[in-house]
Amino acid sequence: MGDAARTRLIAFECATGVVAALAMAAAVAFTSATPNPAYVLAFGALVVVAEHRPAALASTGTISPSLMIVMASITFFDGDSAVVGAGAVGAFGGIYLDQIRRRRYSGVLFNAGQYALAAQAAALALSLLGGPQPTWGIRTTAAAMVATLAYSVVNVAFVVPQVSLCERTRARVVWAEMRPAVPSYLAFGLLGLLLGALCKELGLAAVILLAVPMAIGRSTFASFLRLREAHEAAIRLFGQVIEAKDPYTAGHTERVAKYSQYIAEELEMPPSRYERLRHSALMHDVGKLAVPNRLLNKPGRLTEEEFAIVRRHNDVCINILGRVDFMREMAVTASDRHGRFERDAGRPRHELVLEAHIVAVADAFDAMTSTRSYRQALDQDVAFEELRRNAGTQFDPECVEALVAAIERRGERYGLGHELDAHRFAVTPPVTGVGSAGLGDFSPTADSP
Amino acid sequence: MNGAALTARSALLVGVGLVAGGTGVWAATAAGWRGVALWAVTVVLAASLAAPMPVWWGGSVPLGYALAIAMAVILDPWAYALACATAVLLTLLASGSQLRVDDTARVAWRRSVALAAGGVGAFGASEAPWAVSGGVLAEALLAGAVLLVTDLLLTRVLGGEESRLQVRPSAPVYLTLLCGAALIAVAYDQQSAWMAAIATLPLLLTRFSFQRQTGAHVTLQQTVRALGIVPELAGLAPLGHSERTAVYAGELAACLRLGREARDRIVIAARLHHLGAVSTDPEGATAQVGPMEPAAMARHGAAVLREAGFPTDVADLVEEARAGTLDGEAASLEAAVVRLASAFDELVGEDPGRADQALAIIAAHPRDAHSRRAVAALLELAANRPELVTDAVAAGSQFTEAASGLDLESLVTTPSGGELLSFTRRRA
Repeated sequence: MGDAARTRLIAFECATGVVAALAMAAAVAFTSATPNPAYVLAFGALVVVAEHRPAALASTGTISPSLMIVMASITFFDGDSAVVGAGAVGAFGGIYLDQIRRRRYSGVLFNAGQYALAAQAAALALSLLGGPQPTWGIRTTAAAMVATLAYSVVNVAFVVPQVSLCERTRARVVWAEMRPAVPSYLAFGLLGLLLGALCKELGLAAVILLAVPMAIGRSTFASFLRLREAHEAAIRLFGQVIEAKDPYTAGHTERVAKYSQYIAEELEMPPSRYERLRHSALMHDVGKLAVPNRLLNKPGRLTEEEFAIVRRHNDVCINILGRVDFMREMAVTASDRHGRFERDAGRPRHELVLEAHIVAVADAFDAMTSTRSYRQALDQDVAFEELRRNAGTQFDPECVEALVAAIERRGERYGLGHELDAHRFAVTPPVTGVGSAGLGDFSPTADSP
Repeated sequence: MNGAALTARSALLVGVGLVAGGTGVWAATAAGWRGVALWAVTVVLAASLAAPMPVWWGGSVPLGYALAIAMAVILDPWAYALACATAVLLTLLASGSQLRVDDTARVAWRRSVALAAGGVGAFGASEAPWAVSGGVLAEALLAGAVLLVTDLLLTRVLGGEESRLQVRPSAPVYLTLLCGAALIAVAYDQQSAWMAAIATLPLLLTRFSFQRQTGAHVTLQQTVRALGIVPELAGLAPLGHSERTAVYAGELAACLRLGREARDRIVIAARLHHLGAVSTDPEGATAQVGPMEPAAMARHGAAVLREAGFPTDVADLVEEARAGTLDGEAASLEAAVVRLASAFDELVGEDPGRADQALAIIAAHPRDAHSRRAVAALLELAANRPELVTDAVAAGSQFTEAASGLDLESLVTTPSGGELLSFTRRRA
């Protein structure tokens, strides 16, 4: 980080601390009641513990349960002392061991300041809306949601510029990363307010009732993330094995996954389906595993007989793997892609069919724009033209246009002269006409021997 | 589902709807808004009893137990009994056509007895001479403990291998339900029904985590199963070998009373023990590679798994197991189980008639302490479960059927011919 950027960051962090201190002083001056210091300390200690136990989210990033404790303190210190009490409890959020160990004192000041300000904003919002009622009803819950929202707005308003200065990324990117956590803020906020109300009656025993399920949920979710990682590793391994089988198509599966993602984004496919699409794309050549190497790497086109062997081995391979539940979906994509778009015309366009069509287009595009043992790569425009020529028969026209639009908008260039993983072949592949896709490459044509 | 089953199911659902609606109207006329509230809670209880809280490694506990515990503390005993009986009836009717008869009976017994135990627990905590004096919180914890412990015991008493719960993996689920129930009861008692609804949030969030975890576990198992077939597709091992080895290894681990975690690891390692025979190096497929020693294959397999980011304990076990030979000491009991399972299948293959001969060969093989335990377990299994080998062969045969006469082993052309490595041929 350059000196100027570093100075700006430290200045921003210190300024946040100063603003928080001023706000705190104002709150003390305007309110007569002071919160019980013993409870401030107890809630503060819980905030420190919570800060060191962030919960992982399914998307990137984590959420700190300290929000829950801060909200609990607001209900607990209701009335005049809530703003001062919550602000003081929030300030404990600055105590983060890692930062103190690294002597990032301005960072400590910043966190203490922004948490205190967010807590005060929430307490102020709740008291302006009438504060917690003796019996919680819909009105208090609505007020609690507004208070949580106030907390979130202040938190985001300070954290986004700070992270953006610290990591030198655009504020929009930081916000995009934080956004998925916002619904969790609301859940945590409501739970916090409930916790505060219960603490009044039961003391800290209420904390245990809430902390135990939350801690179990957190560790279970972490275990889920580890399992998902192991699953990703298994899928990656599949991809590696497929690529090792046919070294001349190195990087092919990853590129097909990338182009499939381009098409999916262009078609505005719901992100919940991205993962399966990616797995389908990585697995689309799974049938190759049982195809003899001598045919897979044969220079020139295949004979009718050889092509029949390739198809048979490919189909058997997909058939075998299809016996495993998880692979069944992938197998549909792998085998369907060899079918033509027109064949599916009457069929309902359910998820797997769309995924198969996306992968088919991505696969054909990559096959045409990379050099294979029997021909040189084609130019990108020639590949686009060929895709468009077969749109409506072999390929889904929407998927074709989505891929063309996505690549042109990004200004990317593939094909002859722009290949990512070029191979040196023992016999230089000839320059030939068009002809598309994966196992389709093996397809004998009228001019083949 | 065929037409008749669909009609039966629709008729059942309509019946459930009519029963639910009828009792609702009755509740409204007989007891006013309190009756309606009780009826609404009963319907929610029925729905949540049908919602499973999955337990890691199989089985589940009904989410509705948490609500039932809170109701046991809040309601008077008769209202609680009425609500529970109606809810259990509703869930049984709704799931009637999905379950087999003996499963339905088990589910009915499990829920009814556990809910009754919870009611007794709550009554004992508040009314009996030895009543606790800690208010709603203490009552809820006591009633909850009675209900949940009864449920855990019932899963063992009632039988049914799939529903039998192990104490350790199910403890987090039970603990979550207990805390969630106490939170709901206290929130209702101190605040309002509205707050009690918010108090269900931690329970629902945790259930979401449990569901994701269980789902990911199932998906991982299946991908590993598919990955185990890869060496077979390349002709490096006979089709079905990985599947059969996994069956033997899983049964051996259970026979040796190893924990579920170890059992899980053993089955994954058993499926992937031949992975090292497959080249993942893009230049390797055409390189000159000679026949691979078991130790080298295990090392390569483990390295590949580690590099891909697979859990290290599985990779370590694949390396330790050195499947493909019974020579040398087994590094651990888990390793002994994996390699014994693999060796046994190499000897038996798809012919259950070879099992006795295979056992004789294995029993005569010199070995260390770990292997001795594993072999003793195999002999015990063979004596007590004669159908084990046929079961394993059946599990593997689905893949050989799918290959329909194609000889994948012909892909392995020569030891150095580029189609990779030769499978350790049968020694029998």
